[in-house]
Amino acid sequence: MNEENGAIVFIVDDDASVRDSLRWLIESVQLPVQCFATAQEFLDGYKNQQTGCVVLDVRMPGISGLDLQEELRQQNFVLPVIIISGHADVPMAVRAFKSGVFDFIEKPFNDQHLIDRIQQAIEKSRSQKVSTQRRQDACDRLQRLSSREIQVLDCIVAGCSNKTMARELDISVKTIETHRANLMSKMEAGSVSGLVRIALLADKK
Amino acid sequence: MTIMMPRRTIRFFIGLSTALMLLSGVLFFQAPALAQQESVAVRIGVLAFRGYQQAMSRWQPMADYLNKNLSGIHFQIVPLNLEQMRKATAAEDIDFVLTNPGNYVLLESRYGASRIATLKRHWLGHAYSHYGAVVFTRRDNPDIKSLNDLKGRSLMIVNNHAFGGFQMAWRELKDAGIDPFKDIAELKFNGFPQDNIVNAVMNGKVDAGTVRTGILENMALNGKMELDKIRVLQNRNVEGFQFLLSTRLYPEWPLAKLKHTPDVLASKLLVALLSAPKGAFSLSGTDWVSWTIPLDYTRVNELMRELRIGPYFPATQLSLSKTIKEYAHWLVLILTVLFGLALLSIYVLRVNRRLVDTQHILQDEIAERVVAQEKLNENKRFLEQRVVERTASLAELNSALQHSELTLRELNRIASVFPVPLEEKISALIELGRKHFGFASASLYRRNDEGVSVVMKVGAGFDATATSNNVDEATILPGGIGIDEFDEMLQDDDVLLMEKSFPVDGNVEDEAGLLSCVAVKILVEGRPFGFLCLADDQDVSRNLGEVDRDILQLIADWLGMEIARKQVGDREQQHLSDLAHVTRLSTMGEMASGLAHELNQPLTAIANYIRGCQRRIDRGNLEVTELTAIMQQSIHEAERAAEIIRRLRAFVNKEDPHHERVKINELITRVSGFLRSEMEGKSITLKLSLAENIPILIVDAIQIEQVLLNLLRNAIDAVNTPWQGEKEIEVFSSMVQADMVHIEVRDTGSGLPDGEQQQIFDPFYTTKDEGLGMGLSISRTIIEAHGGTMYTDSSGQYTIVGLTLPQSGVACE
Repeated sequence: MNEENGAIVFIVDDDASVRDSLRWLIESVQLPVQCFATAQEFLDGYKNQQTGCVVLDVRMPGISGLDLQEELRQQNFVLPVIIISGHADVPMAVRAFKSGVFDFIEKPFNDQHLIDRIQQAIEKSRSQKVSTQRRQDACDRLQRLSSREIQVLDCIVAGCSNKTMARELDISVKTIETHRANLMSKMEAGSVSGLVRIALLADKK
Repeated sequence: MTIMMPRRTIRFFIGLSTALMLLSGVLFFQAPALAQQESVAVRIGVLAFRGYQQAMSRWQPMADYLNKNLSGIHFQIVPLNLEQMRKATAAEDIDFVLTNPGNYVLLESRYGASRIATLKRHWLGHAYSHYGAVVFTRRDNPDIKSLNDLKGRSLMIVNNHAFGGFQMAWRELKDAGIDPFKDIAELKFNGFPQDNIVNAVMNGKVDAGTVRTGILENMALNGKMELDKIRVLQNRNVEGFQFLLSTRLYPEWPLAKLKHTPDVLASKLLVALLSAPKGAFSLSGTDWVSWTIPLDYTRVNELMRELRIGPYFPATQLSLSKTIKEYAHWLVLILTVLFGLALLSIYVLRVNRRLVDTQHILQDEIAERVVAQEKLNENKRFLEQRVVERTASLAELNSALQHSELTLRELNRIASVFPVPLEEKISALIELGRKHFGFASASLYRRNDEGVSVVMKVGAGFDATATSNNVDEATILPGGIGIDEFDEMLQDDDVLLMEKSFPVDGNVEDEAGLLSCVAVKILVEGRPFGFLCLADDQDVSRNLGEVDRDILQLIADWLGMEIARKQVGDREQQHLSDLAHVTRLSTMGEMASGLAHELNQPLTAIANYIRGCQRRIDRGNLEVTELTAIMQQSIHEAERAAEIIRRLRAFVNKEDPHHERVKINELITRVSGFLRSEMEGKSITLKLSLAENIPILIVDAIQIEQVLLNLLRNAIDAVNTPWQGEKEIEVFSSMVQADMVHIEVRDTGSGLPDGEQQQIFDPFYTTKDEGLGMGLSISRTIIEAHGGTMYTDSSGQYTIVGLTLPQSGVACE
């Protein structure tokens, strides 16, 4: 599908057979697969920019699947995680979902279901990456603003008129207008509504 | 007599003529009467036992009657006493005799008298042609109750010759063993009337008396006495005879014709008598007589013969008086000499008697001494016998003891050696019994529901080659003892020991022809179990001494004990096996989730491979080389799954212990594999420190696996607590000694409570909330069954549970 975008399925499982057979299965739908025997190996080898998803066995020696998921989240990894469990018990599932796994699949699983979820996860990964990119842009633009411009931006976002702004900031209306023009240009906004959207996006961070 | 006869006959016949009547009248004093009446004179001699007058007055009426009814014949009553009657009969002075039966029998035998009629006595409406005698005493005399009691008493009789008045009673007395002339203290002769005898008895002048029947009743009727004052001795009851009676009955007086009396006359007389009307010869008001045809007097003869009187009296008396007269002077001389001799004899006798007395005393003394000597000898013999017996028995006992000592020592050895499999012990005991008693074979028979079977057999012998355990029903024990008898003996409390020996050609059912057999009952826990039977085809019948019996019984007791122990052991083994099975099942339950994971892995892999293939086929980009590798992988995974299931089944299944060659390290690795995923899930680190030099052991792999699994599960539970820091389990294997394999499981848990380190092996000891508490108990039993031991060591930071398995006793490489 979107192979060209470089989305990769990361498989982390200590059981070689299961690992290999998963690779065989997932590769059959033309998705690139990278396999790791332990969570640590994965952490060492993973580059944050990559899109894709992680398929984890919940039971592994060393760092378990759930531990890895939590580790990834703390490290601001954006990759969706699908956990495969040989024996799902309710507490484990609850813990997994609370820590934000994409899905929790029980063995033995339906191959189509797994592949569907992998693809959905990749899609999510990809869209996450886009929105992240936009937010990053907005932030970058925000960085360009002077402190007076930021004050002016805040007032704009709050919906104040130029006069109100002038009175509040104790500057002239004319000066306000100069700041607004600089602001619009620095934020690469074509309109006030566009300016507000970018400001809000950056503010989310 | 024969010379006289023609004269009598002539006299009779020519007596019809007057002339000869005169001649006769000259010759006889009766002649005038005969001549006067011009008829034939017939003289009837009557026994006048109470005097002439009485006889005349009694019988004259009969003569009158006859004279009246038989014309031409004049009957004359001639009263005679016994002696006169004999003489008159001998002289043919009378033509008929009317006398008592005793006298009649005498006249019959001596002079040919023959009875023509028998008297019939009428009394109070009854007629009696028989009579007897009654012997009686006073009722208030307490000393005389039977004829026997008459010994030493006084008895009153009529006289010696009285038939009814003595002889009848005499016969009875004789029958009772009493000689009246010796045994009766005083025999008083009363004569007639017999009433006086009655009176004498009633007055106490004599102790007893005898009278003819009827006398007492007559007197009572006339008020002269009372019948209830007397006691009749030997009282007899004869039907139809109503008088008191002590003796046999005899026919009444007969009327007999004499030898010379013409038959015509006799028949005329008889006809007249028989046709006489009632009361014709009345004696008194109530007592009258008639005549009947003559009865049988044999019984009277018998009496005479028995008493040796009358015709049976030795006939020397007659000539005695004559002889005395003729040889009087000789007699005097002889008597004098005899008297002298008698005096001499008496003197000699007296001397002799004294000598005899002395001799008797001496003889008695000698006899006594002989008896005493005999007794002494007997005692001595008895004692000697006892000593011999005792010595023999002691010797026997001693030899038996010596023999037994060896057996007992052996018995002790067998009993004390441990551990020997119980079968071997039982077998050894049976063999011991066989050897001790020297039998060819010994068999242990057991009775159970199906029948009798030979549980064990030792020694060569009659059917050592037999392979079947089922004994032919006809011969259970040797010697043809059937199943019924077997059961009977088994149930009989008394039968503890049975000894038999059989003849070679006897009906011994055994083909081999057994000769000897000793069987002893075996009781197991007080209940009959069967028999231990020692048998031989040779005759080894040696008498079992007391010690032998004791030893046999001891062996039997011990056998029973060992059998009981074996039964208990078997039951325990079974129980343990059941329990182990249950524990394994519960262990499996605990491990279910881990096992599910184990199985899921290969199944997932297989499914993945196949789906992957399918998708590639759908897209048409499946490479054959790729496919081959993937299929190889799939098969491998399928085998992995199958192996897991196989192992599980073997583990869960309750199987008979079967030993196999096992590498202990592999066993440890395999068991760890069961629990690996569980431990990973619980973040437990498992470390295996296995020595390389562990030899191959022959053990029951499943059981040892169970033990290891148990230890590991305990270790997991020990460390799997919320407050546990480092969760680590380590398994060591090593050879501590040359022949001892050690396996230890060490966990980093909080250890065992103080003082409970040894309790952990007790059944139902548990520190877990859920858990049977049987795991370690069973583990220890299993390890001990393999000849190993289990131990534990614990502190606050760790617990070690270890086990040893010996290399010796099991084959190794």
